[in-house]
Amino acid sequence: MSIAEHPARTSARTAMHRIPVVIAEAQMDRCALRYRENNTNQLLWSDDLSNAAWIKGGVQVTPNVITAPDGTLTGCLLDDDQVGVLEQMYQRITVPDDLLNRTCSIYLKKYTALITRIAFQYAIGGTTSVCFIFVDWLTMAVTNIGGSALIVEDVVDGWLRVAITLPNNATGNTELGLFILPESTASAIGGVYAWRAQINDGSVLGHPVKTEAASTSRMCRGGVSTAFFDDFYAGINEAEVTNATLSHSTIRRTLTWTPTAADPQLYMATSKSTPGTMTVDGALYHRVRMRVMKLSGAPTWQGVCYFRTAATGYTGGNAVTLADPGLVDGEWQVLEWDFSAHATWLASVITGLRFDLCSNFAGAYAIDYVDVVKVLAVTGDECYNTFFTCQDQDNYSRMLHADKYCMPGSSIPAGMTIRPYIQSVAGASTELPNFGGLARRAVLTLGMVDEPGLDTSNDPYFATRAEPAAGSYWTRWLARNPNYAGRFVKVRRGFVVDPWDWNTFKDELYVIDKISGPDANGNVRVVLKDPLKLTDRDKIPLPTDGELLYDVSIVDVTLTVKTGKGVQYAGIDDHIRIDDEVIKVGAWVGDTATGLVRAQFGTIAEAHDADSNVQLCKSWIDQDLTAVIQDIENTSGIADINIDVAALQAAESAYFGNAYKITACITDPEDPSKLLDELGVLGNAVILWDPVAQKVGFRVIAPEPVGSTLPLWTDERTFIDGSVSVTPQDDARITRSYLRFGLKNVTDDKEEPKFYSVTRGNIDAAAEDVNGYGDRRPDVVYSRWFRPQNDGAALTYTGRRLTRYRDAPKIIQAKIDPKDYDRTLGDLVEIETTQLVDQHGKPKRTTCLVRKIDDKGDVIDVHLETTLLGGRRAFIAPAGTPDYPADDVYAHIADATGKMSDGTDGWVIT
Amino acid sequence: MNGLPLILYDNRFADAIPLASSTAAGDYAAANLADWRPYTWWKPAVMPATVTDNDGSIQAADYCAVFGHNLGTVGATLEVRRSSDGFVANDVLVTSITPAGDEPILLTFATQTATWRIKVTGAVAPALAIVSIGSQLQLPKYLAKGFDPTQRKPVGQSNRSMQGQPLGGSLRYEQWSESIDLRNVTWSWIRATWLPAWRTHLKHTPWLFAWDPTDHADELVLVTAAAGFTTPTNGGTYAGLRVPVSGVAL
Repeated sequence: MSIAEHPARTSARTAMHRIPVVIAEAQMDRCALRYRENNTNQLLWSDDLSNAAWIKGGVQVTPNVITAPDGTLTGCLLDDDQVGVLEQMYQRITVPDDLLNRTCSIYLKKYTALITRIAFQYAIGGTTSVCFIFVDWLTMAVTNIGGSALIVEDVVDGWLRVAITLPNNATGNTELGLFILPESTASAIGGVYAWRAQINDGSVLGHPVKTEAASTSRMCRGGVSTAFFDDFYAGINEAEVTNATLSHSTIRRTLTWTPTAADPQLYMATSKSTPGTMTVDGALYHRVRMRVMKLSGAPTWQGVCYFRTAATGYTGGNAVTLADPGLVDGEWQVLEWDFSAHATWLASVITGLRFDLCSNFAGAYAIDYVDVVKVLAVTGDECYNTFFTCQDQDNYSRMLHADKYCMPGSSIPAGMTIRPYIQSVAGASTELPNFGGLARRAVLTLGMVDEPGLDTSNDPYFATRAEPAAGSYWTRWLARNPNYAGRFVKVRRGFVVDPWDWNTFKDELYVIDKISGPDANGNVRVVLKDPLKLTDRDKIPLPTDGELLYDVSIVDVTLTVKTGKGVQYAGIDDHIRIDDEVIKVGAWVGDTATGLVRAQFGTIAEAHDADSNVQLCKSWIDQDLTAVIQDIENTSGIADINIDVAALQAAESAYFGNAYKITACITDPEDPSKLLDELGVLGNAVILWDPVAQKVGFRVIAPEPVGSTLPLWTDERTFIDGSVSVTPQDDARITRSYLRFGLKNVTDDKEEPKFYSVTRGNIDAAAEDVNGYGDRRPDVVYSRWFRPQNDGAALTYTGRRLTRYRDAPKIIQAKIDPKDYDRTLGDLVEIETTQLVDQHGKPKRTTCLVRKIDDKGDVIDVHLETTLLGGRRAFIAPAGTPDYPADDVYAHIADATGKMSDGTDGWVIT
Repeated sequence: MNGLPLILYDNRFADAIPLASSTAAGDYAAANLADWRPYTWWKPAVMPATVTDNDGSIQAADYCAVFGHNLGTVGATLEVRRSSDGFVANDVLVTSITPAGDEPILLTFATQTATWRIKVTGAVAPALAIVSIGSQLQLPKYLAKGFDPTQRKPVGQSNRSMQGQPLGGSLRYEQWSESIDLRNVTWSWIRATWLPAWRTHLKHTPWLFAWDPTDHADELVLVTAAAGFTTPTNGGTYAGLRVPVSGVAL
């Protein structure tokens, strides 16, 4: 089947003929550095494009808004927001008036711009030389005008790295600029995400290097054991010259060696006149490496490296000559002199090096570093650019790399390497709970196959390996990535269209929980869980193991923990618990806590013996309910970018407010998930992972403040034949809701009613009436979070709880076609099905809450819960609100039949 | 007139890691051309671009097959070139094609002994999954009656509503399964030609099958023969050959 047979993108989901695709993208770590290579980024503030080093011509820059390719929240949004203005931003660096190549690069990701333009330009003082890169975000085509060696790399999660090379023209230009135009034309507006802008010397794109206030070099020294190394980062250091001049470039971070007379020489380690500071054991270290770039001219190659020892100077015999390497202007090359066969070197302590690179003074060189090393590992022993295979972990530079998998037979366009290993996708999606406040965590299990084969995808150095890769894909993958747990996997479910369009996909985000296999049949199971799983693994507060050094009396206001233990409390402005007392700490100085305020949160001051444990607490004072939830999520390792902060804020405004202010203290390490569950219950809400929004969501299960038209799902046009079943949940029905709160002492047993000072209840007498359900079903919840001051919130809680569970909800399990997949967890829908009828036996239109939704590709599994939360609901109108229907946002009074003046249903009071 | 069916598995690019003139950033190594996987790609960084057989020897070839590409979409031309001196001074165009679409390509030519290269030209760099240059394995007989080159079995699901209305269908792909059935081939051909090919490649690695290279050269299917084969004797020096194969229908 060719791509051309596929439906157009506009009808991908709703077409009668669809080609579903499931793609899993594991975002694994890869080192950004190339093995044993160095690179210098000459631009400043490569990641923070909002810095003033970047001159803004109208572009609005918002830093730290999106996860960058290194997994940190450092991606910037560049926004062109004025029609008719060609907005841009740029940074210029100083360059010599030369003919050399330089390469610029930047990471870009689609936002709203149609076409983004990058300009790379030599200017100021001479004839401008410029080239452009254009990224068309509709077609994802990247083109250039001018320049050479356009590079486009699809990195991860939609980030592209684009690069281009441009030579200077020796017409007097003094500056080189990188210009970013988020939207390429003045007539349009739009934004683009951007990160890590770079300019490096030469025509070879260097590995990406982060910079801040200075140009920066980053080198992989994998497998290198060195006795002497100088990278001239800060200055010329101990280099000396004869018949030449020496300068240092703070942009290039190199030496510039310019011969000025015949027989020019370059010395290392102040060794020109006498033995220098270098002491290299020649028996162990006998290779001299230099990274060098010819800047100009045509000097006559000599290529001699002399050495001196404590006993001898630079004699003619103490040297090795390197054949002409054919240095090219502006291009870096690593030279290597091998002294392993030089008897004097091997028997000596080397105290100086002299380089006679050329014999005349017809040119100049840039020297990046000089290194004296042991015999290097042979080619073929490179790392695999993962941390666990890294040979230079001090310089490991984390970047993300997407390993992509799909189901066999998937119609993937040419050029996308997506391995068809997924045999099955199974699991349980997130589901709203009956009574809890934390949704059941989603689990997705990908059944994968294994295969032997080439290692081109995951070995950047496969071409130079001495032997082809052994083992199989997954055995190699697991050996190189033992730290896979917790890495993100994006599961993308969509439909093939022509041309290919990622906009047809709904993306779900999970973390890898575990991988088992491959088994004897080559099967691998990859278990994914939603990131709320992180809240099961952490502890709040963290356990602390400090112990009192001395006894503490009932009135002491200082205490000391045993030597070195204070560090775990310092900087955390919170309470501590010793025995059954909670103490507020003024400050920690080393191992001593001062300014103690005793007997906090209902506890009683008491004496404590030496050796008593000092446990750090986690407290909140007069905080919004949603702020506490967000804080717990953050503390558990869930960043704000993966939290629906807007939903929290909206819920705070609509449903909570001052009555729900939280003052509480957790005195023992507990699972964050348990705390979130309790808070969700109190808010009559559910905290859940929304895999499509890729955020921890927050849904208050309460009437919507503003009425809206709900979608109608019916047997005729929505539900798949034979898929609907209805299960009454009579066990979930309640007639009374109680809340016990006001814990007298935070260290008391939270399960004991006697330790709570307040109980509030709400009873539905009609439900308990003999003509109603005729029974009594109390629901009692204890809460350590509410104080007596939260009395109003407690009443609201009991009312909302009773509204939701007063009538036994029914669970409707059904399958729907992907064309109707436009709802998400916690949304309301109306349904009509013959499985739910009124007293006349006719299908009864019923409002339902979406409890679970699971995209199976061909069909969507849904679990719905009947609810009384539907209907037209709103807040009472404030004074001055126009009459209905001029205003239909706030509640208005209906007529005697419950209808509004236009015949629509009236508002419901709950 | 139909041509005798071809089995295509021989590949000069598998002799050693082939040498590309340029390779785009990312997972686009030229070695992917010879791994018989339709989901790994070579893509050049700079056009025009070449990929050269890099084992240093001179070997025979009489076809070039390409499976998985977007030459038609990007408007690129594919050239097959040979050289007698490793492309130092001798560089001869053997055949070329500028395909209108992205269907599989089969180019056949007279057997020649050389070092081999493909060259792609055009404004936009294409992506190629499998390129095989080598010697054809031509079956000695036409396929037996009943062979169906165009049948297909959809793999997917069709949804209907509770009231029987069509809601939409999902088609993941279409599978083509057939049996290469030859009657009265000689035992000597089976032993001298079929079995060596089976042992070296066909039993464990996908291969390309062209049922009619003369009239339907683009009906080229990447197949596997996981169920093995049978060679029932027909008496005397003759036997049958039956090889069940399957692949994704084009």
